[in-house]
Amino acid sequence: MIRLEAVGRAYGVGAARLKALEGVSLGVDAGEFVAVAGPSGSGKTTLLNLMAGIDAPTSGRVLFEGRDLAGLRAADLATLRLRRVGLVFQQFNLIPVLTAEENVLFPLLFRSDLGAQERRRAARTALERVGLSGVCGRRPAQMSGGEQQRVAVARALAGTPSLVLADEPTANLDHETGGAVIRLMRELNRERGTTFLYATHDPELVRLADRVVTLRDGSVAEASG
Amino acid sequence: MKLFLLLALRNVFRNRVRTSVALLAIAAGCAALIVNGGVIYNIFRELREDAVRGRHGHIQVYRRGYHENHFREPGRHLIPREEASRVVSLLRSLPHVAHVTKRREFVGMISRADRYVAFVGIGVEPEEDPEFSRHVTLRAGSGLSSADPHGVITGLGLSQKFDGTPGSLLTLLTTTDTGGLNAVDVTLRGVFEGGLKEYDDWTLKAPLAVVEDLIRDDRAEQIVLLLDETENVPVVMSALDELFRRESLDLEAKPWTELALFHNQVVSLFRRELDVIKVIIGTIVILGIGNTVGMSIVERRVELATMRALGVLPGAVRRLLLTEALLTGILGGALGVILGVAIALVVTAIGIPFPSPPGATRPFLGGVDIVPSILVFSFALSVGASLAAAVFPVWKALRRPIAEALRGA
Repeated sequence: MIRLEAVGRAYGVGAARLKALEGVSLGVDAGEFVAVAGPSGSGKTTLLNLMAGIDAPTSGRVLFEGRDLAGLRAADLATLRLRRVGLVFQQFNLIPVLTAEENVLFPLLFRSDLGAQERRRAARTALERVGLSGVCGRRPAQMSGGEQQRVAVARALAGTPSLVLADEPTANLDHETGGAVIRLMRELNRERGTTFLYATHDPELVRLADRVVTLRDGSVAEASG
Repeated sequence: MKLFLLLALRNVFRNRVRTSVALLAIAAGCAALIVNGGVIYNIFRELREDAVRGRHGHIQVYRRGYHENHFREPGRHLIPREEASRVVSLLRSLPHVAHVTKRREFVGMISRADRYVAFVGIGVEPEEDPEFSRHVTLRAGSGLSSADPHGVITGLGLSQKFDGTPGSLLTLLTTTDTGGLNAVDVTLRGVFEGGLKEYDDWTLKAPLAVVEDLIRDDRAEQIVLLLDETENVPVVMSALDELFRRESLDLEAKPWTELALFHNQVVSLFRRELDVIKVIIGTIVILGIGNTVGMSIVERRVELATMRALGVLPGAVRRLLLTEALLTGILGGALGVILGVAIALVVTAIGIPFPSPPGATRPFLGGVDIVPSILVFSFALSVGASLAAAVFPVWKALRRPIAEALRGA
């Protein structure tokens, strides 16, 4: 599904140049449930950003279903994310003035291949699936952290993407709620065959994955599973 | 689309204090334009009415070629009495024409005691003249009367030159059409102020009959029309063209706008001033709300980056932000229109004591006109300024790489 070939990402120039990733080669197949582990600053977020096409490597290639993301225009990359990739963020990143249902619905508004009814049905189904059909009308400030992250998962899934990238989705949740979110993602992975990559540094949550990629100082230190 | 607009509207009211400040800034600018423009248009209207109902009427009709040649050949471009009477009847039958009168201008000397003072005389029909002199104020005595064929009135400045007061006996001297000298004894009935110093310093009005007797010529020089509404001047001008062609009349017509040169100069000057004010207020509004819009966008940089990360195209995010600016402009502009109209109504009810405009003689109690075109322009400027204020912050926000903006850096 997605493949990284000797990918490197550096920031800054000259003496201030900082290598966030270096020589990372990695492949993820369709339907996998992969954890990206590693301490803070190891390059987990950079890796997921490159896979999502919201950042570009300074060396190497990122291939999504065989297509090099570097060869796509910004608008094509946006369309790819809109239709094929779901994103879940550490801080949930919900739009505070929209309700749970509207948050899930919002990215679908830009899907020209879906009608108004289909969009609404997809948003409601996604919220039901994450167990939040009762809070559709609530705004983020009226929900707990766990509920907000589940809305974010519903938003990522509503467009039926083939790949979901979750950057430390449990970092702002207590251990129990974080575990529930990862288990929910696991269920969705099994039910729908959606590929999941989630970054975490919680060893217990890492154990829920089929495969673990451990990063250290911007390089793959270990790959298991 | 409904959710898109809803999101934009909710974002506008996200920070109510900041939005209130932005709306007030726009509303204040919009109201300032409406009030400033309204005051200027009020002055225009006062000057226009002075010109129309004090001196020129709405339209003047002459023998064709009069304007080009009357200084060189004053006697050649006049309208014989019978033709003038027929033309007056025809003109009275035209739609929108309220009053018609004949006039004859001449120059001469006033002799009183040992003083000789030059004047510009206008022979008028005493029974019609009051309608054409609504904006002329009598400062002393009374107006012309058909019951007093030898009673004349003069401008205030002219009366001061020969030290005349109502009841003063005067002798008017002039040359006749054939070049001879002639004189007539008249009585000063009243002293008027017409609003324009130059006019008041030189003008004498006398009954047409005594003027015709003095210059030994009964031909009319001008036939002056007063309409029901000033706005109807173009319609009546077209009707006159048609009438002259149909009746084979060798006449031409001039609207007041071509005759009132002083009015035109003042209007031209004030319009320029109004344009400068528009630019200044537009700039103030842009600067005033630019910071607010910029702050709002900076605070939401992670949210905007999230939208883009989710696959929303930069163009759609731009549309969202500009829609917010548009809504702010519409709301601020609408508030500004309400505020401006309210101020205009209150100020007009109280009245603004204006000193006399440059070259004019009378102060006047003005107000703030509610001018539809100014309301529309001020509203449009508010919306335009609000959009313009958003352009740079939006451009800046969307230039930022998504990953960098998501970090909140």
